Amino acid sequence: MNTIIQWCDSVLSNEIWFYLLTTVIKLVLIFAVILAFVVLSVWIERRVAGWIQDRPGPNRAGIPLFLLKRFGSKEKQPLKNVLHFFGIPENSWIANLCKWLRLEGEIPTFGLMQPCLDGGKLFLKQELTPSYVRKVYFTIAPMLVLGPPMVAAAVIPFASTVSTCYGEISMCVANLGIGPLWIFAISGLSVYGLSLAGWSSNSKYPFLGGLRASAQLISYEVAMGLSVIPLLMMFGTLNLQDIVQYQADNGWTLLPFWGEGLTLQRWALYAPIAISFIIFVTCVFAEANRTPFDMAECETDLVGGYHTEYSSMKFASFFMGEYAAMVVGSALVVTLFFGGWSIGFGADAALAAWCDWVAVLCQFLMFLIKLVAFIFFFVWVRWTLPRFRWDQVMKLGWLVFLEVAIANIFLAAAIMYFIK
Amino acid sequence: MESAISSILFYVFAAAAVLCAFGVVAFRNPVSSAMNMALCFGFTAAVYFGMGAQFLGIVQLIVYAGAILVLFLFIIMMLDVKAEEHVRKSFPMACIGVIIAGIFAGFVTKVAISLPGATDGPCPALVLCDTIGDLAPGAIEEKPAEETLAPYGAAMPKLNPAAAAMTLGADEATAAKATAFPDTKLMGQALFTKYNIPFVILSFALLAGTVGAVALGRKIRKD
Amino acid sequence: MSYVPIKRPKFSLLDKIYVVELVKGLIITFKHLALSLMGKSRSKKDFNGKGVGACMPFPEQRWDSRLPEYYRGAPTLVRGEDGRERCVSCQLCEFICPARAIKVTPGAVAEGSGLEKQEKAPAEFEIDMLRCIYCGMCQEVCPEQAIFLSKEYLITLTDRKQAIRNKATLYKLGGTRKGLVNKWNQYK
Repeated sequence: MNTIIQWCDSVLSNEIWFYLLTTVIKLVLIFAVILAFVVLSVWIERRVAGWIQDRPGPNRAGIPLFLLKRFGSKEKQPLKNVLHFFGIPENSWIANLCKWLRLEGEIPTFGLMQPCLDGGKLFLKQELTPSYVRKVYFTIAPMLVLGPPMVAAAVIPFASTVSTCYGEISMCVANLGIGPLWIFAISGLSVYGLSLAGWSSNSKYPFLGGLRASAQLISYEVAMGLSVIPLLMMFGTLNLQDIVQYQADNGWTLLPFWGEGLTLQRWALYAPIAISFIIFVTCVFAEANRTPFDMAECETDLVGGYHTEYSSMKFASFFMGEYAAMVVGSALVVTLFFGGWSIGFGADAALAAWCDWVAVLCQFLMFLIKLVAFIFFFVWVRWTLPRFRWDQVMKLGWLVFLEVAIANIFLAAAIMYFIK
Repeated sequence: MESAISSILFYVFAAAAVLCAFGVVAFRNPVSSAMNMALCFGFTAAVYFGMGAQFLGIVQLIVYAGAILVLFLFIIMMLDVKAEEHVRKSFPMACIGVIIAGIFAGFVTKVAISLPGATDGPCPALVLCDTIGDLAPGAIEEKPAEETLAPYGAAMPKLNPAAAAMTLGADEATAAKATAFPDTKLMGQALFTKYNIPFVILSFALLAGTVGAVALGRKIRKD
Repeated sequence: MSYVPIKRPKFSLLDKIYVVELVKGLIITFKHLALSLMGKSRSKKDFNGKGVGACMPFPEQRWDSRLPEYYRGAPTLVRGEDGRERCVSCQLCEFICPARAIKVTPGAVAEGSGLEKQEKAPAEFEIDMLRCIYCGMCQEVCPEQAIFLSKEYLITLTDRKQAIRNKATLYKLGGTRKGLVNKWNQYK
């Protein structure tokens, strides 16, 4: 036992191994979180869509207790049998708790199992590759859509720093000095997946969808990059961990209520930052191909868009990619505008002073809560707004957002120069 | 050790970039060529990352792989790819191409060799062996820091964060604490102070190009 | 004038900025969301729903008592008051059926039944419920008032063969119908 501990100690003392191990753990964690959120956001999407349209949405797919028939006879009351099997009397508190949880027929999951089951169904469906497609690109296109958002998530900080006896762990897979740019660059690469899917399908409508996707993503990337410049001017850094730390100390970008956030300059900067926020969020919608801007898969004029010829899990991976892009986009918006992992009102520093690990855990939960809130916002907008027309999308991108974003930079610069 | 790993990755990515660059010429399908070019840009960006020039790497990705090449692809996809695949390459044209490429490669090699520390680095295999040695538990403490870092210092010109911070006007105490290389700031400073006028002139040239393209592409109405 | 010029609304600047209108839309959808979560959706009463929103949670609550008179469910064959099979196997329904769901095999009328005059009776009458589109054309075209659409809407199968309903099943589902069709009654 002692030798094992010693060996672990010696391995962890090596800087390289410590770095590698912590990075791999963080990597697995963030990957699992993103994938779980892809599933969760599908569920949120369908539930919220239901509620908005006065429907319940998917509320079934509970875990049926009749699967536990083997515990007892073939009667219709599985709960009774299970209780009987374990020798629990029927009016004990356990039985009452089970009844209160409505476990009589099935374990309710509120429809949360639905996306998982749908995923299973899609895996089992027949996969059909048309004979006229370009096979290589047809196969790699879904991968190119699903991959980039996962990679882009690497720079998003999900908690502050923890110090252990072997060194400090920054709760962010890659603590790069170019945070937001990394996300722009990598999520911009997913356009290859869309346009290749359209082209390799060798069919008219997918091709038009692919062209639309590439034109739209390039147009909105420009406005997106320009819209965050006022923010970066305020923060003075591109490192996302530093940006969130700054917000934890000096008030979230959109809620500057503590620290330096109460200065006149910050409140004067509120106008350009609000404009940035609107442009940036809209561009995230466009980049994630979400509804007001889902021109590439516009079924009214393009059949199904770039994924018309796809079936089974290849088809589903386009949607997984879309949802992953949405999750990463919301994470970026939360990080830049709503303080990322910071709990707010100086609670971070107080918690960190008390216990590092508790602080990190609370911050991680806070980050997830904010993320879910923003995913809800995405879904809410989707079920409110109709789709734009193609020329309106291009006009909005090039003639409105680009100009407003550039003017916004000058406005922010003037405020920073004149109001100290 | 950081330097050793990045040395190995440098060789890997450089080789991959060269292979992809070859693929751009070798593939007959224009879309394959374009995709190889995108990969080549990606590997070049990876080389920049390995050197610590993160900003340069990411700009390479955003501008070239993310925007310009997508527009290339946009145009290529409109072509009749099957017709393009059957284009015959004539021998004299290939000869001219090889000569031009050879001259250019000669220039680049000449410049690369004349750089400081270009010829006195260790061979890649040695770097690999030493890195594996470093991965043994407790290996780092046994060797003094200078010894581990010294052999590779020459292979990869290491960017010095402290010196860079001094250039940006920080005092010595702050500069010594600097860990990350502030390449974004350095590049911004160089562009907007030392090279401001060429930068502005270039911007105007690009603007003129854009206006020209719009003027050529616009339909002229007869009314 | 062969066309009506549509009056396009004039947008004020506030409308053109779009953000305010967007927020209005978001508020409307949020109201719906909140109401369905609280179980107070506007048209909830009309559906007798006990679930979320204005929906009837189906397998627990049924539509049966609320189906309108004109509801078109599964087609069935009926007997008259006198117990006579009304179908005379004229095959008009088979020809009119747009989904080609009906297949009639004509046979002879049993001798001594007193119905020799109608010449034919169905030996077999099959309706493929996977093909049936519940359009009601068979009912409309039937000169003998022999085929009627019932209010049955819940047709679940585990097998394709189960989807084909034969003559016996159809008569069992249809039952008898009041009112005599006296066309074949020689003593009328």
